[in-house]
Amino acid sequence: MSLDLSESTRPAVDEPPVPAPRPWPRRFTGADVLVMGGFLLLSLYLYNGLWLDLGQGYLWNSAADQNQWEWYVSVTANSLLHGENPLSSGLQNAPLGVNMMANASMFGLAIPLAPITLTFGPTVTWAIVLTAGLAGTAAAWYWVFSRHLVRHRTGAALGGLFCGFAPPMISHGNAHPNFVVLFVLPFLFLKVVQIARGERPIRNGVHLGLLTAFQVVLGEEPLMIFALGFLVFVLAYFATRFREFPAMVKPLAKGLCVGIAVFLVLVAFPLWWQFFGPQSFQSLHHGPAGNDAAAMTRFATQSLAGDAKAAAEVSMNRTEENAFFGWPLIGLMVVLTIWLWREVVARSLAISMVVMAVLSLGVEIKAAQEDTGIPGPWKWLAHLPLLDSLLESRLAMAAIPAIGALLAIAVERVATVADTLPAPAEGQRAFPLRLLWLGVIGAVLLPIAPTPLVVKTRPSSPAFFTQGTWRTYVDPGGTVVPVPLVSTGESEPLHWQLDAGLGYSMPEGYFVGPSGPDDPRGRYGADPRPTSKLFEQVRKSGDIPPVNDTQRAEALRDLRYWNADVLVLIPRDNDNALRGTVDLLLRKPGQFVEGVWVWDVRAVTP
Amino acid sequence: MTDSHPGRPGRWALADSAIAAGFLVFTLLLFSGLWSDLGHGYLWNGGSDQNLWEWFFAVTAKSLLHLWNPLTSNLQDYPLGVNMMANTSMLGVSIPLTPVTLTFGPTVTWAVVLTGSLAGSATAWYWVFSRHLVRHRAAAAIGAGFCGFAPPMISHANAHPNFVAWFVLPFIALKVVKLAKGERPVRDGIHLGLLTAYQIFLGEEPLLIFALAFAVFAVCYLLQHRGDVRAMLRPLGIGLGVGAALAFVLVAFPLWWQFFGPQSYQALEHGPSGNDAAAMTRFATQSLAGDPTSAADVSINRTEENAFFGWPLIVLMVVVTIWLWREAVARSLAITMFLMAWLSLGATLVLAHHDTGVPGPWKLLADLPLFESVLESRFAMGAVLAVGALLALATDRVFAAPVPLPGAWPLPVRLLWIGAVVAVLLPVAPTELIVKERPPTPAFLADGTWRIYVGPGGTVVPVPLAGSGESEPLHWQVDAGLEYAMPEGYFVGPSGPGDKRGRYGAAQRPTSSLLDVVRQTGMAVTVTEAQHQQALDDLRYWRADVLIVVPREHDDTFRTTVDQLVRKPGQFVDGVWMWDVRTITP
Repeated sequence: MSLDLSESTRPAVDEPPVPAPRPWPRRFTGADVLVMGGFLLLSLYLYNGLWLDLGQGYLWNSAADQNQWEWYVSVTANSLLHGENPLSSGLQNAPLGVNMMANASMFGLAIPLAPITLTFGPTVTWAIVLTAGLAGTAAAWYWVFSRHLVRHRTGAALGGLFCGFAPPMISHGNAHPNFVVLFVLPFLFLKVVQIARGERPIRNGVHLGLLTAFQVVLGEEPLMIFALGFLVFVLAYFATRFREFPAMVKPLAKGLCVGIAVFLVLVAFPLWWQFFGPQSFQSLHHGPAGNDAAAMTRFATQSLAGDAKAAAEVSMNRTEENAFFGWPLIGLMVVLTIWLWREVVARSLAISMVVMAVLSLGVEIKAAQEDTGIPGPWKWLAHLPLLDSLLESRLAMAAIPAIGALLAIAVERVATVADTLPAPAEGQRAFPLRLLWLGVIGAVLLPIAPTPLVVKTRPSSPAFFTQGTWRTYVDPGGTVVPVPLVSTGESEPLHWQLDAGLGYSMPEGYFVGPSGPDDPRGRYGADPRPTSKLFEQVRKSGDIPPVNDTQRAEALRDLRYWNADVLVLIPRDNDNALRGTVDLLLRKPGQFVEGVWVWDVRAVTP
Repeated sequence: MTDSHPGRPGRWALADSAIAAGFLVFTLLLFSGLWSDLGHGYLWNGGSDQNLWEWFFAVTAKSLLHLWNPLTSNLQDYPLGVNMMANTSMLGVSIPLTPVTLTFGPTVTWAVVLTGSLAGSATAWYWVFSRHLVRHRAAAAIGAGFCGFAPPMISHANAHPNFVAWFVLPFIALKVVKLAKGERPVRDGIHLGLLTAYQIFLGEEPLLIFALAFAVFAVCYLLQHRGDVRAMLRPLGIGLGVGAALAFVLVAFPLWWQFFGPQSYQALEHGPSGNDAAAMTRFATQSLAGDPTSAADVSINRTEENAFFGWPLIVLMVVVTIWLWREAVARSLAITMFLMAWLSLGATLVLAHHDTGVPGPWKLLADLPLFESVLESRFAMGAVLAVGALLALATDRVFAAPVPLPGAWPLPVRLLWIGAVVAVLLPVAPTELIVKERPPTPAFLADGTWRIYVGPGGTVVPVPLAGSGESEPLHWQVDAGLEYAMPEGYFVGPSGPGDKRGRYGAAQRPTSSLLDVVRQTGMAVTVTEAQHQQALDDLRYWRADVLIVVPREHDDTFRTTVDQLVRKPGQFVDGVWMWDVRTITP
């Protein structure tokens, strides 16, 4: 009965008598407070720009995503306040609406934090979730490491620090709270191990079900990715310890059945809604999105030694820098793997780390933007259900806990030896093992230390929305149509809608939904109507196109479909061309009201 | 401080050969592009410098072959000539390698000198470290590997053989230490004199940097061993006296020639050129973790990336310094490392282009004679040596720990340390030097057609004239057998007849400046009568027999300009446009 994680199975080397292991720290002590407080301070420091300007601060590298996520939490809070079903919203994509469960709306935090969202606004929730996400992830891994993996807090703290603040965490920390709030996962995996070890399978099974259900409403994609990493760890473990398996079958069966039952009771309906409810979709396809092999060895944009251009060259965007471990850490991991290879837990961690990193290279391996022609093993998994929606570069995130755990073990092993070194002979100085080892690890980790996230001032919402002027133009059931319409690249109207108190709906939007009424394949945003496409084209070109009668007829059809009451254009890039286009389409000039151009179309969309 | 220790390796053994061979093979890999294309390979990041060095090697060889004075040459800057001793002609290698230059051409010499210098420097440090500093070969090899292949060494290896030839300096330091210990002061003094004289023919600037670093080290060390100073005075006095006398005899005339001979100059002024502090923590263009734009952002050019140690190594050095602080040698090395690095930051601290206004110690030295000509960023190379020595010492101390450590269970301390050092050094590991194909020499020069147009004592005037940004004409001249002279050129000389301040290239004549304007703007000028007359004057001063324009960028504009300047159309002969001007420069 093992799967280690707590027993004193120190290397089974015969010679020196193994000393009585230190006792496990159990209770929550001042040292734990210090470590976790440190994580929180670091996290606050990284987000200091956001905290210092909660009114107008915008995480610059998130592009459209801060607006989107603030919209999710606000809409969820709004639904709760009005006793509406939070799993759907009609505020975007009118008249079809958005399946909130199938989007990254993070009910697990959006619902409990609804009072904060309603009281202080969604930016405060956003700042809290991100800050607590990084610090909480670090603290959770620290707790599991310090209580169940290593007996030295220093090692556990270092491992936790890496798990919480590794370069991919910081990259996602710009935009994706669901990839930052990972504090449930360590406990979830711990429960599986405890069940396998036969420790109170029923009770732990209940816990497992609760935790998994909670993680599902925090983020399903991270659950899948980290579960895959955990699975590789388990397989690697049993590759040599298969004899331990039979004894684990019974408790596992018991615990998992209980867990699944609890899980299903809690999330069966939301999951059904996600996959079969209104505006649900089946899978979100994307092109090959593996990590460039060079992304493993380079440094991230927001690492101390990072160079923005070099990082951008081998990553999709600033929020998907999913590897960027750098040469020093890779070198250290090779050394640790060689050193600890004979310990089954460390070996399994190392295997899981390598497998997940290799899987993240995608279906065909690229190195520094050159196709090597070598197929990646992800090829075999890329088409499985659920896995087909994953951005495979994110699989590298599952290597993070493995690296953190290896760091923790490495520090513990050296510290234990340092503890037991005999006093030096007269006149000789002690060999400063601990100083050297921590110093070396510090040298290796410093280049990937995170730098504060870039915050810029967001544009303010036009008075037309904030002062409620829009109300005079929108009848009940009518929509506001921003020109151009909301999409992946255009999320500002979501922010205006929030500032207008979510009082009106908008057609199309920035969310994930089905490709069409009969096409359940997922896509970003709505399938744009012809008029929406025309606006998009004008926005890009800056030229007023010749508008013909067909387009006018289409515009009327689209406006009626959208139930549009008013079209709104903000003075921004190419606003003159857009204004001219709308004028031509509607055959009426826009009016300048409270800082925006508006076209009241209630007359044409009865 | 550098006792022969019973535990140290003694005579040269197989393991030493293996390590030296490892350094050589590694260097060959770095220069593999050059070695595999000795006909046309050109070290791209060196800018104009490969042409310049090949010219030095070829001219020195030719002087020796004809028993001319190698300290001067009038093949460039005709009719004044160039003071070879006041330029980095590296007589210390160009003279012994003359047979190679004459037989295989100067590119082979260039490749041999660069390869031999990098590998030789690493090996020399390895020898001194393994025999006099540490007890374990692995420790010495790690330290010496860093001294030989640190990022600044690789950067200079693109262009400056004098800055990668550090193979004599470790032995100079060793001799000084031996003198201080009073072992055979006269003999060691003679050696010291010989070595120093030789180093002067390899490079005076590295000697100055090294001497300063060594002086800092020695002062730090002796401050901690004040009691020993008295006993050192006598042998040091004898040895240094003997050494200085011998070196003086050997180099007095060349040095006189350098500073007071024809076309000598006094000091080569330059603007503030300290390292940006960010250059300490970033990675170099040719380091494994390097990024060309971010390195270029904080360095003068690709051959002056004089720091670029990166965060991991800096942290490791802080840790090692704390750990070994109580050892006098290590502490002195650490102080030297810190001071040399600080010195290299220049008169004021600049951090990522932002001038903080914080003054640096360079302020005190910047205006001293000799120091005034040195690019201060290069003092970081003194820190490289201290880092190498500290790496060696630290590794040695780890290897000195009992195996296994008497702790709870066997800890593979050596594996962990070596692995950690590799992890820390991996991002600064060098990458292969970039070699591109050089443009061919036009047939007019390569095939000897030029002889028809150039009379004895006449010159070939390339348009535009050779200069620091235009060194191709040097290559053509070498390919033409160094049989014609050129006016102006790429070298360091005085600013004018009465002005002994140094400058790159000749003081330009008006016609040369006019052609530079054409090169920079890419537009032909309308030549005035005055300019035409001036051109005639200049051509007569240069004893020009023929002007040539090679079909390249802007060749049409040059051709139009020269047509107007000499008032006759160019002829296209054997791949070049040329104007025979013998009739107007009698």
